[in-house]
Amino acid sequence: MHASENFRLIKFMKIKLFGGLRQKAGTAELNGSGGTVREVLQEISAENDGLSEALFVDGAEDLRPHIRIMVNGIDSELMAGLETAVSGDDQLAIFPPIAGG
Amino acid sequence: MQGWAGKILDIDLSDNSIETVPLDMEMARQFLGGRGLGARLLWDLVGPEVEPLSPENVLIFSTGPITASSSQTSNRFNVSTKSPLTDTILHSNSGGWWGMQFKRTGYDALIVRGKAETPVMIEITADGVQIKDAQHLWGKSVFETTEALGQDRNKRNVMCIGPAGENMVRIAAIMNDKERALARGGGGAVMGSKNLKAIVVEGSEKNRPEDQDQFKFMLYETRKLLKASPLTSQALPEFGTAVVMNVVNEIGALPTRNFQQSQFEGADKISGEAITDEILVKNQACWACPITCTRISKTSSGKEGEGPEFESAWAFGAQCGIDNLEAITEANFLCNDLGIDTISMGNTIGCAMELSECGYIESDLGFGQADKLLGLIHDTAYRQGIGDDLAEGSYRMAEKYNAPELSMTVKKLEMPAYDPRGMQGQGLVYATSNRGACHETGNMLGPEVLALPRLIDRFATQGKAGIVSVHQDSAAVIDSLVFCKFANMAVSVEFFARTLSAVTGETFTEEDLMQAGERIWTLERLYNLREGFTREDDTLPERLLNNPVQEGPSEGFTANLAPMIKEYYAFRAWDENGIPRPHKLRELGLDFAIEEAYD
Amino acid sequence: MIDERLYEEFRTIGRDIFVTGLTSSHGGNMSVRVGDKIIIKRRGAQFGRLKRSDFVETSFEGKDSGIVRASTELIVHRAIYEQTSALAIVHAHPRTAITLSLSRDEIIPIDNEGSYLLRKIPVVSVEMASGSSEMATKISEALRGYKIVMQRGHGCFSTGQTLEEAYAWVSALEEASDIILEHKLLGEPMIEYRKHSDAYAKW
Repeated sequence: MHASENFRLIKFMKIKLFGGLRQKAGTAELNGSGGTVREVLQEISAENDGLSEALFVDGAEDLRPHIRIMVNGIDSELMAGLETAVSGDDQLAIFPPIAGG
Repeated sequence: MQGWAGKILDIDLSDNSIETVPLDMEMARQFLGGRGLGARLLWDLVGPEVEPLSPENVLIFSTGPITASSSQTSNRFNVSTKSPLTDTILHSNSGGWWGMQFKRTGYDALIVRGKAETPVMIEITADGVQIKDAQHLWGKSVFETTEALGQDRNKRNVMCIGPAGENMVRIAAIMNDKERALARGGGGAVMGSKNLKAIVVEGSEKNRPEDQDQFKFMLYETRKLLKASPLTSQALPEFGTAVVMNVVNEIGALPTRNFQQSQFEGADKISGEAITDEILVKNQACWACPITCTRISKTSSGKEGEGPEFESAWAFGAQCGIDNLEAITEANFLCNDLGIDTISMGNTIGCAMELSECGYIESDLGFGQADKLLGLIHDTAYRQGIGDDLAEGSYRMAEKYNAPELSMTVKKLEMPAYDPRGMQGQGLVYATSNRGACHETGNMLGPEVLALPRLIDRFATQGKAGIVSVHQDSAAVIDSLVFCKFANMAVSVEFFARTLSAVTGETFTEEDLMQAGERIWTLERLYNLREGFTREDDTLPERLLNNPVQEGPSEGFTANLAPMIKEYYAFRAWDENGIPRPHKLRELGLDFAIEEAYD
Repeated sequence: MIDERLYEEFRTIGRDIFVTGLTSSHGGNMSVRVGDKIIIKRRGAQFGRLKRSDFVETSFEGKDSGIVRASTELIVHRAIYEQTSALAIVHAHPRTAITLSLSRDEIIPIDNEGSYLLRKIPVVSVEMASGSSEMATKISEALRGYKIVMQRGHGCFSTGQTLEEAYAWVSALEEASDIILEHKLLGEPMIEYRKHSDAYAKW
């Protein structure tokens, strides 16, 4: 038995979705385990076609431009981007392209 | 006409004189139109000795060379005056149809001077320009007045004030096309002080571009870019401006309960997503605009109307600790009907709530009381009870109750929906904006939050001065041509320059325009300096400078303004007192202002 | 003087520019404007291996000690900051773009990205090709109307609000130039796919 199989059952990282992502994913909130931001995105998109299509360009490699990911309110681009390490205590927020005044 | 109409309508309500004067074309090229032209004319017409609510103040309604050309978003227009709220130069901007229609009557701008003896309206149609009696309209709401005067989409357009303007409420707006607003700074009060109830326009002239081929190409390229940008093609039409409520909250920059906190637990309930889910009927566009960002909403009591926009939803929402979307929406409708700036109204109510909770005002008013909103707004418009204090704006009200530090304003203009402690650059914008705390004159939301054009660190202070300056200058350009800033999310000033060139037949480069923007910005600065403003006024409330955010992603930060101001003055070639240096004025062609600037 | 963030930006973009072949080991330069100062790569520094000591801060008037160590083309950078609203400048030597500049007065992209982003890149000719006042005047003048311009046989100058933006223009230019060159090598007639394509030449 692999340790990772145990951990897959324990998902306590909160991931909030905003804007049109909610409708595409069918939910406003998801849970994930840890790793890097990229791994978390791939994890939550794995069983969610609507979300996968909204986040990635052709498959799960390239994030669509204008998608912003906040880790505890800080833009991941100011950290290590998709390679930023995140764990259960962290909160992710994913925003689709948005604009305002 | 091609670009500029070449004519200014000059009306004096004191003696009913109506004159047409030629537009100085050299001035037009230097200051473009709209806000720039308004600033240049105001410099000449309204000096420091003029009281904003006296007959000596003027209202300058101005369009730009591309207005009514049918280039995307070519519907917007400007009003310039001296503000009764801030005593600074005021420029205010609105969309809809009125600006386009006014341009079609064959004028670039309308100057209104003096004061009528009894309430009047101005009508500009094929029959000419008339000043008509409007006593029967005085006292009527904006919606009533607009309908009574025959508002008809793109044929006949009405601009008017409501009871708030009539009662010279300092935060009164001038409304057009029923629910569009020249909102900030109390322009409505100036119009009310002149006994001017409405201006109706019906035009027929066309703004035909000089270079048709180039113009068609620019229309095509602009359409292509607007469509390609998910911001202008999806985000804005689908969710409207309030879609940024959640992201600003998520990063800890959403001012809550009069800027006591920077995150609001109810943010999602008053967001663009919530509006779309619960109350949206459809979206709507202004004239010649494909972006379609306007919301038409309907509450469960059956009231329907435009909005709420992000700022309005914040002002009656997080600022007041209210998460009741329907109450917020109806507050927005009422402000439109009475003719009041929603940002100033909501911010001021939030201030009153804190004054009350702290015991400065004897009242049971407190944060979260959604049921009180409509009554407070109504009382403000009619100056009844506490409404008479609210009508003076948050600063004068807080000062009256001996707690001016609880007023979240800069130069007495109420601060909009971004906490500078979570967005350092925005703090610099608020502190240096020529009309007081304003986000429209260089919004850092793009660079500091949305990564538009690219992400910069919102907590950093070094280097902010340059980006803020460039954004301030480009905003001045956009407000003078007059385009919509949302078009700028997909299309750069480089594009606007080429569209302008196609319309006028004269060549303007991007940098010609940026220089014009700098010229306009600097003249506005000189205007305020002439009024007696100093570098002491380029500041932020104590709370933001000294009280760190208590929790959330922006925890521990205060607004680190001093180093940014220093860098800003240096960047703009102003001295350490924030006064533009002589060589800069000469470089910008502001020689005419040099003498007065150094008085 | 130069804070951590700014240094990182210079370092990573300098590396990207060198590694993608947009300049030789010590060629080209970059600068940013901060307050009333210019921060520029010093003369002789390696683009791909920039250290903190490779930057010089100098004022607009330029009568300070900074100019001694600054890039030879400081005068051009200064003129650009005076004539435009640029906050960052990149000067690189993209090979294909340089090759094309030898035989035409403007580079007009034929690929989708290039047309979309750039439309047209003017070519400016300067006799004294390094650090002359003629160069400063002509380049800064040209950058009033375009985000990126070519100096015939020498290289490109681009502006932006950030170094990243200025760099992005260079990258786009070279990609568009490579495609123009390869299309010519292929020697097949182009099937026009863009509406209003004749208008790009008049941009």
